[in-house]
Amino acid sequence: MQDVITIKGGKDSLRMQIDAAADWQEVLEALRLHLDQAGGFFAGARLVVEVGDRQVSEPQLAEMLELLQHHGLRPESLAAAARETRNAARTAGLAARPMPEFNPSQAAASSDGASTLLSRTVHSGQVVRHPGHITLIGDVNAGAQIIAGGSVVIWGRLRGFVHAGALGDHEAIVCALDLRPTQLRIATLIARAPEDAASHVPEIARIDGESIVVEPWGSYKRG
Amino acid sequence: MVRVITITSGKGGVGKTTTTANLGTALALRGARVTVIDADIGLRNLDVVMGLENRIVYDLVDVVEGRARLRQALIKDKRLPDLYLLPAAQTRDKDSVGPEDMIALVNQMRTDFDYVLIDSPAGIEGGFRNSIAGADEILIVTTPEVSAVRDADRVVGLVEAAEKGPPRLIINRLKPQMVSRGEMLSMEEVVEILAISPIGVVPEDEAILTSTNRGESVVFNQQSRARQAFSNIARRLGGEEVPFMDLTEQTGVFNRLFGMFGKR
Amino acid sequence: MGFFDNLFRRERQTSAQIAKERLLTVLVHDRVKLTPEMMAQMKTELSEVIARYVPEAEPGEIEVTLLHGESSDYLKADIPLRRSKISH
Repeated sequence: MQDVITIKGGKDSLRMQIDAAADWQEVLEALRLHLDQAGGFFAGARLVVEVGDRQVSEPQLAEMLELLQHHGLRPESLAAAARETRNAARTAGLAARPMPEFNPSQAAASSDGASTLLSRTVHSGQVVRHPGHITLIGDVNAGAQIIAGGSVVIWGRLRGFVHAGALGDHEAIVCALDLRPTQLRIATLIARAPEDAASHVPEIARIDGESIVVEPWGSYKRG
Repeated sequence: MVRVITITSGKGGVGKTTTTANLGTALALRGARVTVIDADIGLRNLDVVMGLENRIVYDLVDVVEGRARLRQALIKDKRLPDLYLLPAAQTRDKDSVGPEDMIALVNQMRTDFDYVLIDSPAGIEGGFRNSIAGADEILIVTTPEVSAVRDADRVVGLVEAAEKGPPRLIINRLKPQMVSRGEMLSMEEVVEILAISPIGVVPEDEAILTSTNRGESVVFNQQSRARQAFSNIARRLGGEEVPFMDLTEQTGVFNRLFGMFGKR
Repeated sequence: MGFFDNLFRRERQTSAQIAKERLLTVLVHDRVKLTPEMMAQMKTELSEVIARYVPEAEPGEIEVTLLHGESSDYLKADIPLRRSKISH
């Protein structure tokens, strides 16, 4: 199943690759499963669909686009070797282009590495999304979003929205020098920062049983 | 070589238009050839702030749509021979102009001016995007209030996404007494949150209102505290290193005493 | 608003009063939606009509202004006439 659909994080958008040999119904089933497991991870993400040599008819494509949009994805372009498939994409309002040449070095670079390291301020309205862990040196301002498949480490102030373990990983954690997010999610659980929060010590949030707990970095380390 | 600078804020009412007018005047006083453009189509304001509302014949939309040449539409300032205004249309809506129009418009000014300042409309929609389309640099105006700083942060993100280079910050209407009592965000705190470099801090000054009432620039008001702030911004734009005004020094003895009691 | 009112007001008009007057003028223009271009056109056409009936009118001297009045706004046209050569 894993091989039928592969979704990777790119610089500005996600890339979805579809196995060329699999039956179309099998593809849709795998996609549905993948998206259901991912929870809200993909919501709002731009997507490039790569279908390879496969010929996809207009109704087939429409069915897939509906599924993607239902999960909040924004399909933008489609890469296909077959001209018929590209025409179907244009009819559906997508940008269509030929399949990119296979480039092994590029494939290695863009493969979803376990983590990403960023050094910047994330401003309101900006979204940082990565399927692995995210480490950020800088502040996350109110109105910004950090969404990670793995854990989130903020060496700075965390004031925005953060979702760790967005692909369902309950072991994921969120820590920040100043942890005061407007909303904090780990996997399927949601927590809101307490109103009087002003501890000014580094803190860590994790799932303990059925809820999210937040504790100072020092006690977590000892515990 | 002209520099096209858009002055924007996100939130309305933080002083974009007065900043544009006064900065334009300050630059022209220093000998630069300056045009200020009112990009708020449908809500024309820069003309009344500059006292030029009676001289408007053609506006930005007339130029974009070819009814007037740029030369015909530019209005010369009352005092400074090298300061011009291109007013916004009042009777049209903001969809009459697109980003390509704004780029074409500022390109017409590349040879004849040193600075083109564009007064952006509030918000982050089409009008804002038009106003930054032709810009080389962006200045973001905010007041030290949570709502204004939050909106400014949103604009910082959009300006970064538009790849206009790092915007610079003007903090407007700062009240030094309130800052020293710990009841207003300081310049340093706002700069820390927004993580962009400041180019000016303008103290709250009643002279801004009285000058605007008369349709004059506060830069001509020798008594004004804001006057120095705007000339400093003009100098910094020109590449000079000018230290930021020590606004705490301007609080009177009386206020200082209050400050001391307040601290305990 | 008599002559003396005007005289005194000019002397010590506060910036708020100036602001109010400027705003009223601007707002009349905004509401009537008469562009400066249309004003100029109207002046030209008015001079043509007036010249047909009153040869003494100075076509270049006609002033048309939009004014804010107490109960209604109005258009005021000042049409200076050349002094008649016929003496009494």
